[in-house]
Amino acid sequence: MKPAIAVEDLVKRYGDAHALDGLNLEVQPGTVLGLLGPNGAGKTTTVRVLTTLLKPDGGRAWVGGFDVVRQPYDVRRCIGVSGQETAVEPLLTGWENLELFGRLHKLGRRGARRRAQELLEQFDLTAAASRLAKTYSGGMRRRLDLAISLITQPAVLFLDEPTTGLDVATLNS
Amino acid sequence: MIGGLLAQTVAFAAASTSGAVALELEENTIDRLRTLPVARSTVLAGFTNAGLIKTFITVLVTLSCGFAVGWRAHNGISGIRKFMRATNR
Repeated sequence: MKPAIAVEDLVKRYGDAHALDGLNLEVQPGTVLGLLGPNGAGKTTTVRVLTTLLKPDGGRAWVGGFDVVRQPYDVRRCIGVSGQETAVEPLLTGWENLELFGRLHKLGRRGARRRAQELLEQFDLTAAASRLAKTYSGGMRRRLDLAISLITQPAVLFLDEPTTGLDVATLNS
Repeated sequence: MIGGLLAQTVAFAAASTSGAVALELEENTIDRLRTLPVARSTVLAGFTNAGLIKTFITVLVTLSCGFAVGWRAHNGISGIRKFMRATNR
């Protein structure tokens, strides 16, 4: 079976600092893999390279079978990303945020609305769906952010410290 | 005076667009947009187009207000055309 993520000798430098120095990794479909390490270990850099936000200085990486440097468009079609900081549009409602990203992912108006409804229920945001995202608490913004990352039911989901700002009850759910 | 107001309007609009891009960068929204299956240039083009539309509306409002209080292009439409041709050379 083709691995969901494959990394060969990945290198990324910031000036003299080696953020990634020959990283090798293989993740099979259906696997949950957690990267653990101290600050500056290169966890976020790895995620940013694999999500096509950064170009590596050496080595190769494939996500969903697509090369992150040569086929970034195909990679982006099969991934969902939730970063360390929430990335929601504060001047749109929760519903509009989800619909916007659904439309940008070409789900169509009806498909985007249906998926937004499902995710609002799944993340317990239905009651706040018509409020502007800027009025949400930190935990609600985080839940909305996670919901946006799942808008397309991606084959590979990248979560970079996704539990920041969530309370224990939400974490458990 | 209208000419000066228009120049100021366009300058403020450009600053507002740059500010919006900076804010989105700070809020990491641009990173999310950059992980969408669209060309890299699309995000910047979106901001630029939005800025152009806002500027066009603001210029239109400025010209309308000027017109309402008596401003006129002294040499008419042909004068404006000549001016634009001269500045495009």
